[in-house]
Amino acid sequence: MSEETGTGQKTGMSPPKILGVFALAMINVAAVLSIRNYPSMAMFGWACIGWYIIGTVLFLIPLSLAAAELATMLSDKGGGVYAWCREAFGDKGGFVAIFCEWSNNLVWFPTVLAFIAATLAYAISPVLQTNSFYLFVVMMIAFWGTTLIAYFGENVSTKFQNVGVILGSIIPSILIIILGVWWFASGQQMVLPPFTVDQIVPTLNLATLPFFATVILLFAGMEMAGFHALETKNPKTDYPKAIAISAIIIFLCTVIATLAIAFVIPADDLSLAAGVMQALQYFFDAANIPWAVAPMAVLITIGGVVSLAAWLIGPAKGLGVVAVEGNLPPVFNRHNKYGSPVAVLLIQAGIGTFISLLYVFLPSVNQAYWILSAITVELLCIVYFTIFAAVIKLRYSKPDAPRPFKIPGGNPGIWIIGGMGAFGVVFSFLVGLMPTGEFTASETVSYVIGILIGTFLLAVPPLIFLKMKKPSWVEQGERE
Amino acid sequence: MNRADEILVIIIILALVLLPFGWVFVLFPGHTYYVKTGEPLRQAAENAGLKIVNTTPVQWPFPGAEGGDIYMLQDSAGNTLTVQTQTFDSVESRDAAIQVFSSQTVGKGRPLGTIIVHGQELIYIPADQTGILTTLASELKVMEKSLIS
Repeated sequence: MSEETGTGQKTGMSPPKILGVFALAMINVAAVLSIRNYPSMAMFGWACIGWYIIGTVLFLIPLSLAAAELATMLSDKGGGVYAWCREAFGDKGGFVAIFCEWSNNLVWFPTVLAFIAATLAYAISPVLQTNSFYLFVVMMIAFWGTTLIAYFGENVSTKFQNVGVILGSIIPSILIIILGVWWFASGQQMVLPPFTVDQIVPTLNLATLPFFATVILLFAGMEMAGFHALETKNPKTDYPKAIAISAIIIFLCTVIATLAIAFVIPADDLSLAAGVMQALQYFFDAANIPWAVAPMAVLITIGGVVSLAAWLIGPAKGLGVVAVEGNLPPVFNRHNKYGSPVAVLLIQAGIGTFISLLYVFLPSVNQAYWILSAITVELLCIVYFTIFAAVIKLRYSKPDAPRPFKIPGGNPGIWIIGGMGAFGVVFSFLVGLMPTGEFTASETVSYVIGILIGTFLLAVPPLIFLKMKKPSWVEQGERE
Repeated sequence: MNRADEILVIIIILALVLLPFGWVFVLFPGHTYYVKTGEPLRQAAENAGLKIVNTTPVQWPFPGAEGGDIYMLQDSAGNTLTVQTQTFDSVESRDAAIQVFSSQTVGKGRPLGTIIVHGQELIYIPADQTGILTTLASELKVMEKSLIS
């Protein structure tokens, strides 16, 4: 692991440049676009438009623009978020940002894996949802299978993601939209009241503040393509195009498909406690195509696996770069002949497996998991705040660095865009500390302390490793 | 770095990463499963001064679900909130339903809405925009404590 490439990063070998605009866009779509968001947001009726606008203005647009500027400016550096934040804030800033992006996944993996298993059960036999053994086996097949795909490097994982995201995210979204249009065109009764502008304004009060963090981070993942900088053919031109394409696909699919569901299914029948598939069952029953539920379940399962793959591979690649640069102990610095960070992938898979075990076999700990989900939100807020701060700072610390894509408007423009994004995530961080109403006063104290300590523990390891760092760590990596 | 150091590093990583999980699971242990009596939600709503505008039966299409009701609640300000209850035939089926709910996150965040566990019954409260959840939940907690003790 000592060959210095021309990229400023020691990677052992120059990775093949295989990613174009389409592949990069699909990586972002895989990370962000999720069918399971639709029924949840459809419950807001017309107001879902208002919530989506908040998420778009305060997060999707700022993050897309910031990622485009940083990815093109630092296109010769591997590590995505790590490279961007390190450039602005040094090793500490970069390492903390990428570690938070990686560690929040450890909390999230069990939920997406459980979603995959429960959705697949719907295609096979819904009763399997209550079978812990079934859940765990399917979760592990999905988790370790995706890890195996990551093991075989960018070529294999890109093909998997390209096919998977079309099958599992885009096609199901388009099908839902087509059914909604058909419902509308065939003159069937709309569940929603006639549209008026005031209905799209979301209710903002103390009770709804906790949704704010959820909605803001609904578009989390737009930075994912940045982890694949070194494998991109023409990063300076491909990144902005890919980010624009993915943002448009994600926004249109999300908003229109959500409205399609809201048109057809009464809010009371969108009982999310019974799962997204039950909502879709209602949708297909109403459209007189109940047979479509099982194939749809298979497609959505594929979409879940692709989303898992995007989040499993990207941050692991970033952490692999940290290891190559000697900021992590050599045990992390092992890459295979495909360029995959095998040590990071294996450690991630091991921890994820253990947490999944807890999730499946200690399932009644409802509030505990609620807190762990809140920790995910807080960690993501740290990541995104660092990105927005980085894009602003670099305009001042490296004003003359070539920026093939530049957020328009000069320094006022960067402050407006970066400032909106930073405001959104800081506000989300703060309201993320607010418990929902089912927590009592004494539980609220434990809740807030639990979240803060949990967030701290999952964010602090980089500072420990940087303290422990030895010069020899750079040289001790291994390649299989 | 020798092998012992590497093992030490892995232990540090595991401890740091797994500590939050242990901490949270200790703070908030699981819910006791017990057979409910009467209509806990109706009682809690009445205790909290909420008006029940109407109720309709509901059957969640979920293995082990034995039926429940949809309650439309109204507070003194005229705000309404629709809440669903569902009784489960076993701790396994109840916990599986909780698991499915927990996995319905929006993006990488949390699920919208809340599940309150009350013995064998799950009370599903969708994204509350009124504040009724807070009033209702505290009453349910009081009732659950008195039942368990």
